[in-house]
Amino acid sequence: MKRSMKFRPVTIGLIGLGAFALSACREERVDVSVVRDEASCLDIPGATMASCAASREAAEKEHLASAPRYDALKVCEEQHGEGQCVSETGSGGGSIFMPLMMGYLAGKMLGGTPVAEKERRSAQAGGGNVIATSRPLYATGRGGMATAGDGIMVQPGQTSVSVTPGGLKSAPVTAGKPPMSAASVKSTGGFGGRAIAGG
Amino acid sequence: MKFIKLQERHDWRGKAEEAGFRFHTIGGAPYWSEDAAFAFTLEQIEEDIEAASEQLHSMCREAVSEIVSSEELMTRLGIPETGMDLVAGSWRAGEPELYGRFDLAYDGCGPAKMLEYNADTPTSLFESAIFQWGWLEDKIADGGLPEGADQFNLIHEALTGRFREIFAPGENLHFAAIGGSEEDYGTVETLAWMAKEAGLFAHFTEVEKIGLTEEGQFADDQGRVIGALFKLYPWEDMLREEYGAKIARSGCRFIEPAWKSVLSNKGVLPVLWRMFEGHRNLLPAFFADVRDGDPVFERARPLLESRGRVLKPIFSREGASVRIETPSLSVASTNREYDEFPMVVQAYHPLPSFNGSTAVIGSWMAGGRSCGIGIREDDGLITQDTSRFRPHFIWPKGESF
Repeated sequence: MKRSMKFRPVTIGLIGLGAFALSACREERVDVSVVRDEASCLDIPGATMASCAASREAAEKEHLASAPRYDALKVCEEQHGEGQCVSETGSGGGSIFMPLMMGYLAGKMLGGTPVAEKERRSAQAGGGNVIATSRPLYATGRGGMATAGDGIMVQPGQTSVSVTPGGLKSAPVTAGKPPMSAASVKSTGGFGGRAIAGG
Repeated sequence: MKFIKLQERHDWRGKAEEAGFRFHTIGGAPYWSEDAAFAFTLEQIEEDIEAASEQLHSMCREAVSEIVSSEELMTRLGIPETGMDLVAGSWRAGEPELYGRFDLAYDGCGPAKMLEYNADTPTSLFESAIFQWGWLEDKIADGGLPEGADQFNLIHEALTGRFREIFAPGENLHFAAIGGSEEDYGTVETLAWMAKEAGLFAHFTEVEKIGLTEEGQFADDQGRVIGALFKLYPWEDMLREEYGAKIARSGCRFIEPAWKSVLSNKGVLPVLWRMFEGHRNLLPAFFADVRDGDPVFERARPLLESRGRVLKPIFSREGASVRIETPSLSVASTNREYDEFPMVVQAYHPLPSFNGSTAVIGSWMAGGRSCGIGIREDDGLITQDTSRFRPHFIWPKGESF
């Protein structure tokens, strides 16, 4: 009665396998697909129209949150190439510029479960949330594409890249300067006096 | 509820190691123990544990509401004056809770009794949610348990669902634990998997490495602003430490919220007893300085005298500074780390004893939903950090024990 769901993704819950975006203890590499358009998404084994739409949506959300932002069009175009930059919608004065999303990385999950499969399960489980493994790609201005901050580079014509699990982590949020933005820390160690915490 | 000897899986140590569950053996002594398991009937699980836990949780919420509107009660519960606004404010703002674990005394007959509520920093989550379930699947597969055997364990699904309820998809959530503790790391990473499945981005930082920015925000070990923080670190300590005073203006959302500090506090036990005197799932409890003649106390006195009492500090982890006094015995935990704190007296309710060991049921909550159990047993009367984790299963309906 209690456990109607007898499946559970095999990698879920393994300690030290990298649930944390930034503390991958093992540097295993996984292949992720480069998606330039819907057709190239549908080429991914197991992909469906629905999973492609979902991964695209995740990439767009990530794009809005963490696309590189520049305070001048010229600086943006130096990084991403001429005609690749737009002013941020809703930024008011229009003084913030960001590159267009050229595509995204949509790959396999850590344990080799294709994104589409994962999403299907997620949808079946009633959640409907997509695991955001999609990472937006931007033009580098040198013919290729790269994730924000040039973390992962993609050459023209390349259809997949090999990345570490941490490579699919979300980039720091740049919109509005809140969580994950870099800040200068003036002190540390104000918490943590007690050695045993849990119970 | 029965103690049933079973064959161990020949490869369970390998499976534990593979899963990163390296603390299956602690200091040479077994922690994960599958040479026997506890069997329950479905009725025992649904009526005596699940329903009772959910009711206890809502009673606890009523107690919080009472406590945070009384400075006197907050003082009794050791909430420092500087933290009272934070605690009361988090309750009034309706900040949602994520998880908790009731420790229940239950032997299969009669109502489960609440010993305490680990509402702030419960651990043993990996073994309860993940490893215990793997054990059940393996035992059914190898024929050691009948095909219809089940387990009260929706912990993973319920907590994933709870993350979805209380966070927007795509939000960043930091998880903090004390550096160097494999057990604590196991608990936060298990939660991080759930958060990730709920569409959040999980980041880890050690509690000691949390910093404060120029703007008064908290930042992780890489200098990134922390917007939301799950901390496997007790509120009672946070409120007293240097950064305690910085929390209010940090703009950081805390999980668990600050009001959980009044629940993960033995001081809530006497408050509950006064509010719900005689409730079947509660044991009589009082602050240690309760006066003779107090009517609630006098009604419980005969029981306290005949059955005995347990003295617990309002803050305590892993059974530290607990003392049991009954007409026939007197035992105290060896770890006296929390002796300095005010004490609470609770009526002694013997833990069920199986095969020479006592067992405590850890009943997991996801928000207000009861979602699974994990059982720890100990050779002594006080469950300490040397206790063993033993899996359980639900006996298939219609088949007799």
